[in-house]
Amino acid sequence: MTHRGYRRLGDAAVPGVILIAFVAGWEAVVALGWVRPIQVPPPSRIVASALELALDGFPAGTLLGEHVGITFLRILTGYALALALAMPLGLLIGSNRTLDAATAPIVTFCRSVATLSLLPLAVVWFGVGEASKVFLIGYGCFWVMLSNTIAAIKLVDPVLISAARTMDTPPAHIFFKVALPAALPRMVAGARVALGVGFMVIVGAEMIGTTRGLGALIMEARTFYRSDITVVGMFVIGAIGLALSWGLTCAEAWLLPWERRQQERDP
Amino acid sequence: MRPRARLSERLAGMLSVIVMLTIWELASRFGWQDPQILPAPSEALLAAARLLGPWDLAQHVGISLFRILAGFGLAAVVGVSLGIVLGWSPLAARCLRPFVEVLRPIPPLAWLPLAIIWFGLGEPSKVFVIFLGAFFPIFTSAWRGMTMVSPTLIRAAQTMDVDGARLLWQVAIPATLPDIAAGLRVGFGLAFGILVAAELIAAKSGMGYLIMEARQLGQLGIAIFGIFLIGVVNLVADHQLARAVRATVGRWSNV
Amino acid sequence: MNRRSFLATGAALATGWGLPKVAFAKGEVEITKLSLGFGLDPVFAPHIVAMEKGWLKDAGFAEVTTATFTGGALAGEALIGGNIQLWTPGNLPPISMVHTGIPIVVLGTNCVAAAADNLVARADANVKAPEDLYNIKIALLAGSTANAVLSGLARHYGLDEKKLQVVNMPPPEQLAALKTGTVQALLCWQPWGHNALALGNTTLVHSGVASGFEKNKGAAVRISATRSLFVASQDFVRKNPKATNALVAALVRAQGYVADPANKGEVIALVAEKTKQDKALVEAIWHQYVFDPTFDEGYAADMRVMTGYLQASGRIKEAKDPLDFTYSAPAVAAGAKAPAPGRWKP
Repeated sequence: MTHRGYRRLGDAAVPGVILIAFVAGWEAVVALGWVRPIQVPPPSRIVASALELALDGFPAGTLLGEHVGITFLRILTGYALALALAMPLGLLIGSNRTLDAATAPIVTFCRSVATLSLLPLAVVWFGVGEASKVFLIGYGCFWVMLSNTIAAIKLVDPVLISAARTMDTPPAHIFFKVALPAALPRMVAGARVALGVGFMVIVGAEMIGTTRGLGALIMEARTFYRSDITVVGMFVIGAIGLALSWGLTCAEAWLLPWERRQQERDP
Repeated sequence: MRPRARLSERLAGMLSVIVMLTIWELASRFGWQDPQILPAPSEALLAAARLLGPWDLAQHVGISLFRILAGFGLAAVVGVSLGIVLGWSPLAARCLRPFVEVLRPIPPLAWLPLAIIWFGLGEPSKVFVIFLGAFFPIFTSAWRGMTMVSPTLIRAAQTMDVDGARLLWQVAIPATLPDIAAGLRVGFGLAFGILVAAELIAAKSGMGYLIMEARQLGQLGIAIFGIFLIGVVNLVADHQLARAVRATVGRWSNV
Repeated sequence: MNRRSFLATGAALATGWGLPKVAFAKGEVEITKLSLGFGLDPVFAPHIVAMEKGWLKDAGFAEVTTATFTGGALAGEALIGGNIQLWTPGNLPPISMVHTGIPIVVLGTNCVAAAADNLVARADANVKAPEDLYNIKIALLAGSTANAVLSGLARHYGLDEKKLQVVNMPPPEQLAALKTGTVQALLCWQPWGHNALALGNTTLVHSGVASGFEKNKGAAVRISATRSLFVASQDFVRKNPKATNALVAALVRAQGYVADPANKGEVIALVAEKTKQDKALVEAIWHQYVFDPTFDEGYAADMRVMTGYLQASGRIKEAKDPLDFTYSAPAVAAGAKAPAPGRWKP
């Protein structure tokens, strides 16, 4: 194997080894009785419950795959809508100081409104179907993405802009070819945070009009004191989030090839 | 150097808020929006004034602020440190980032039962939940900022024989500060947003508690007032945070 | 329950118990700090009375605190974690807990709250017969006692539960959805039934104990098996037998006080104050709660109905008999009757 090949293997192996060590340690800690199962369900129990969930479903009949699929769709829809609205709006607001100052209090205010507080409004405005869930998920994603996009464009190195100006670049060109690419890395980071927020609110969002979905599953597990299922739900959410985050990293590499090349040059 | 916010900008901010409130008030009055579902701001204020004295209000705000500041403070310390370490060392990033990314999407409401079992019913469990909310944006910004530090800057410093720890402390971290600042502000806002969930843990007071109790008792005016209260306190606190940030970082950056 | 039978029950209780037989000796309990799970519900009347009258202090609990949960199953978690010593849930959550293997035990039956469950519909939904329910959307909290009540209704009137359109949401949202017509009915405990009726243009289709259908209007039809229970962890009961007895004694005494019609005014005022509810509201729904510590066949039957619901809805697999996790000895020692006593022993 080439030097690079070994390195790639090492790259993948290190987190793998750490993960295995972590899981083994966890199981041991519970088995030895240092920690009660009620405090931290052991991995063996979690796996057993995951199988039950995948095969029997909880409540019986609704399989894990179904819960995952439905939530995934809801999050994707809310997230995509939020991003589609927040990015252009954020770029616009961030580029204009007066607009930024005018909207800043509103953005800061709305960012702090909890999903649980919005439940009655969601019911009234959007009914009890998919729309209200997508709204609640999108709400959280939107304000975070907006804030991050505004910051992204504001933090663009002014030297870059000035340099472009000295070369007599028309403003539209400056925006699309200089400012926007410079803001992209931070916008992707913002997209990552927004995705996290989208997941974060699913328990609240799926409280209305549904018993299917990972958020609803967690509430259901809580209502019936199946803490093992709660933990499975948390893990599945985490795993999906991890997968989507990896997807974002790939998207980032595709969108920002120059970043990647720079990172490769300085390991 | 970025000049302090002009008066016209401050006014623009206040104006937009006033416009929003007016639209809302009119919507309730003229029945565009059912006042029983979304009470007008004036009604919310009246309902609150009837039920809460200034001392009660101060207590609710005070205890919530304590929880938020504690959780946020913890998140800031851990998030920034972890972000810097993971941003600086690719090995550390490879090992630990998956753990962070797995934990990030987990809803705070899902953590509540574990928070109770691990930390009890007092302040620690609430602070823990708030920590969970604020941590991730802070970490992400710090980490991303570190990875985005201009290599030119690093190399320039290295040519001047600045390396290792000095490189980190005197070049990389200051360069990351604007990102850290942006992350702190988002994290701060999320800490307020999570307050309601955190105060589900047997709270007897607090702004989030106010909202949830009003919900249980069907007092929508108070619930709206509570939402407002959180938002306003967030605005004021965020303003202070922004000022502190501008004082330290804003000297050389457009934050 | 109409007023005459209620008064009769009250009189029977008052004379049947006489004074409590347990001497409230100070300082004989193993722990002095007690934390009670609390909520904003009239079912907490005995707790409120016991605290106000100082009966818990007399029993030796120097420091009594309450932990209020505005909803959700978090109180149960707190019990497991040892943060509270007494939990007062509806009878569904503890049954779920036991079937998950969590070692808890029922120390007492607080009150029968069947009448507090109400199915309220919009007048324009035209629900006159049971079959009309197929045409409307009913909002209720999935997996709660309200869900069990709907099952009971379907069972009694021969409806196919799967064809009923149930929309899951928490009580405050149920009210909002009913108001806007997004759903046409809601099924919930108090004060939501009361609030729904107060909206105007709504009718009481069925309560937990009486029908509002045209064909049998006013008939006593029991579709609800909801009770409020006193629950503690088995660990706590085994380690602190004296404290358990003292706690239950104070609660039983308080139940008697609360059930006594002579104290109605005082108790309602206290409950309204401590649960921050409107006094008129508490007064209006007061008769729907029957405080009675007796472990009779009714208790066992109600518990079995709930267990049956959990099985039928696929949440538990093998049913356990409720008397196996009921510990009636402390209540009996405090003067309660137990024709169908619990079988659990520490």
